Amino acid sequence: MSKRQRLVCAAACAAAWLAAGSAVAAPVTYTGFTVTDVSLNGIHYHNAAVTLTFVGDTANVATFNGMTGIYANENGTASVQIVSGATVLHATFASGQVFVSLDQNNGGFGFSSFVGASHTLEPAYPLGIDGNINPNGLNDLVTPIVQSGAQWSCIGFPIAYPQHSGHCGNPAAYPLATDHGPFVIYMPYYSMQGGKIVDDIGGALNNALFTIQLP
Amino acid sequence: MNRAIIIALAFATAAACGNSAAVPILFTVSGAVDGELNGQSFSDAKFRLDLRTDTADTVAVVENGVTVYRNELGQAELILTRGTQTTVAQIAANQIYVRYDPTNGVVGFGSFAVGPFYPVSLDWCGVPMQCGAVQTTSPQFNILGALVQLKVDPKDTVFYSSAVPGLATQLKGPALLGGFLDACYSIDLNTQPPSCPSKPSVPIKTNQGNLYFQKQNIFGTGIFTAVTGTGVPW
Repeated sequence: MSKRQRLVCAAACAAAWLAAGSAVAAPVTYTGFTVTDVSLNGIHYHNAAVTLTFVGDTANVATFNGMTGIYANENGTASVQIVSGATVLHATFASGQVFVSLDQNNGGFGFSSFVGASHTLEPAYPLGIDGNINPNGLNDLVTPIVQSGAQWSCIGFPIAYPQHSGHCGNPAAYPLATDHGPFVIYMPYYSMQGGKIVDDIGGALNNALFTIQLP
Repeated sequence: MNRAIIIALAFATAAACGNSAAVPILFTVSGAVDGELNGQSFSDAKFRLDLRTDTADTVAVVENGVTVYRNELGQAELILTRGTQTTVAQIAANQIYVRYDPTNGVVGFGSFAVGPFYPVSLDWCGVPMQCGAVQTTSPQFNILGALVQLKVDPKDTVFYSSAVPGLATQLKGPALLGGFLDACYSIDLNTQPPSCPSKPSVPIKTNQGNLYFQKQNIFGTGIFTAVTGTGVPW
């Protein structure tokens, strides 16, 4: 093969690789940060700095349950760091509970979970982020991004649809298992109208950050 | 002097001085921002801007007829994460300060050289001081807005969970506030979408080079916290 032919081939190969987009596997780290109430192993921390981390691989990003615009990365290791005053705690979640999700339809990212004995899906627990999301960043779960929005740590989300309860469930009833005991995250700051959380976007008053990092 | 009188005077003096004990405090704003450090532009970088100071240095001042809380002393530091690279920049002294205006719902870091809302501020409507009067007939969308509303009409606690009123602060203790993040010297609201076309003539000097914040969009929120005590790790 001549040098010219090799150059043409290399260019074609590069173009094909780029067109394949996210088909190339790569380690990925998702983080969610907020300041809120949590408990770990029964000890309560008020307004602690909480960082959720999920380490996985972009090759495992897929549509969730076949739903258009809903993506998830369910294979990886989830952990949490809690900083309260001078106390720093780390805990790793037991497998099969916490995963990362993206909802392009409703504009949100999240650390979602399966909770309880019935393994119920909770899209916005332990941490969902929506509201004031930059729409240019709602691409996928493989493109590096930093997003911010409202903090939802809500059992039963969405809760403001017609015929929904209008309230988040008690998260203490659904602790997430970690290697340092059960973990619970709370959403103490929200707005209400008529005694119910006002809606599924504006109802959460506190804020959170979400990042996707590739090496 | 009679011993009892001396003791009584001592207690009276202590009472008059009030709670003057100084406590270390760490103020922080966290969010995402565009800007420039040491001549290198960055976009959508996660950042944390810290000021380590003391509660005794928080003062209440009147600005344009409203009481604001400021702390102008201490050591400021920027932790900037661009992709997987994290840079820690020590900010030179006497450049930035923490400021909270509970009446207009603005909190953040002001600059002596540039103004009270730069390099970064959180507000309740999108652009600091352009929110107009808060309405009191429905709830607001963030903590800053809720506290502005409750200051106007305390009966509006009916719109909020019970923990919200307790977030009111004078920056002399632990705090948690949040709202829309603004980090632009002069945002241009006439472009579609709004943009930040210019940076100030005076940079923020750091040991990693000159720093400018120049957030190019109106999306995004931020988190302001105050944590007291020594040994706070972040």
